[in-house]
Amino acid sequence: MESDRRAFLLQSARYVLLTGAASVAWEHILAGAPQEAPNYRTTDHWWGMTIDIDKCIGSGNCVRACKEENDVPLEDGCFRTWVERYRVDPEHPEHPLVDSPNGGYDGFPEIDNPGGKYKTFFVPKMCNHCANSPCTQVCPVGATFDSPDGVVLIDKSRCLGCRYCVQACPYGCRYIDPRTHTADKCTLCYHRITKGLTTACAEVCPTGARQLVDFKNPADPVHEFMRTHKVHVLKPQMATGAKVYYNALDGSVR
Amino acid sequence: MRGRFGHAGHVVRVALVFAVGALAFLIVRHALVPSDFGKYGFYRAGALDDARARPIKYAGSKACDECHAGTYEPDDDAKPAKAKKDLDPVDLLTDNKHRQLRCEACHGPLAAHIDDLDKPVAKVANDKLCLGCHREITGRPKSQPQVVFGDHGDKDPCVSCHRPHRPRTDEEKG
Repeated sequence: MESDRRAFLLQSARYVLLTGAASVAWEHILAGAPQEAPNYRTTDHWWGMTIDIDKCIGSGNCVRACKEENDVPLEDGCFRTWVERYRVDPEHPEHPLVDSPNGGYDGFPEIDNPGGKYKTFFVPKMCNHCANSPCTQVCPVGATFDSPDGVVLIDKSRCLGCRYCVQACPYGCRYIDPRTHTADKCTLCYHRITKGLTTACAEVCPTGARQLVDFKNPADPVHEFMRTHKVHVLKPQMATGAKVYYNALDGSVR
Repeated sequence: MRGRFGHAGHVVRVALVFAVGALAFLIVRHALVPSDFGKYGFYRAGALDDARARPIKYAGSKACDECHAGTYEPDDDAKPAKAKKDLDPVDLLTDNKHRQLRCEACHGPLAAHIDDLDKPVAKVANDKLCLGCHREITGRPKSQPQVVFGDHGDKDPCVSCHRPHRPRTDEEKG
């Protein structure tokens, strides 16, 4: 009886204090997974990604899954994520050999590394979902934008196909969809992450090299990851506010 | 004889032209700019919902776990009896080099199977799939187990020794 009363009072207090939507989400917030709440609120999230170079084995799983999930054209040049292989001569680190046959979609062929004298590794690339994204700043019609939860998206119904954004992105993450002649790019699987799933590329990564992270979620392992790893973003000198953090990123990576 | 404002007609006519122009601008702008444009920023607020509306193809391993948690293959009652023979339940969580792999990493997108459980999950194990991660190539980190196909296993299919859900062979388990 006593416990019934307590439960009733707690429940009532919750409804009074957290009226409406918040009370529905409360159990998910207590469980440390606010992204699973049925009433997704953009202001509760700040999405990004971590990529651990040491873990990437160049399987190409992410590239294939991304194209499948997001209906990306199979033509070469249309990638929302792709994998590059770096072969770096330790004596000339400023001139690495980079290959990415079909973005890594079909895997990687063997290349020459006589006596193992070169440093070699894979670097998955994708939209960095910049907080100060150059691509959205140049759009003349408001067809691309930073969502309140930190994802750079495209409104295909407004895009003119002027290609300003394709040129503005310092990371080469945008392409023109040959079917619609409008710009397209990684959405960080917005249709998935707003429903409690991870991105398709992170879902299929065999080694867990990619992790979707929510910087506003205090229970997200990313906070521990950022404290305990030497992370870096691509092209920090561009001041884009990139939110894809790489662990063990080599200085030769462009 | 004109009055003090006798030439005001010129001003009125110019003002009318401006008024008609401004009205036309407002009408065209109203027709062209979506009503929810600018609600959150310089974009159409409905574009956020459009981005969320895409169908999901990779269901996520949590959906798989609702029926297949922990063990796989022989526990699945929907499987034909012949597929069960000689197979122990595969414990995915312990003593298993592939435990970190999520189902769809190998099986491919399974949302169609989650929506309609009668749609079978394809058997996908073949040498090409295995070698996608385990072929020895330049760039692959040393921590990843890698083989040269042919040198390792006499060109027999990978599955003749390794079971995909628990790849260590019986000898390796000791």
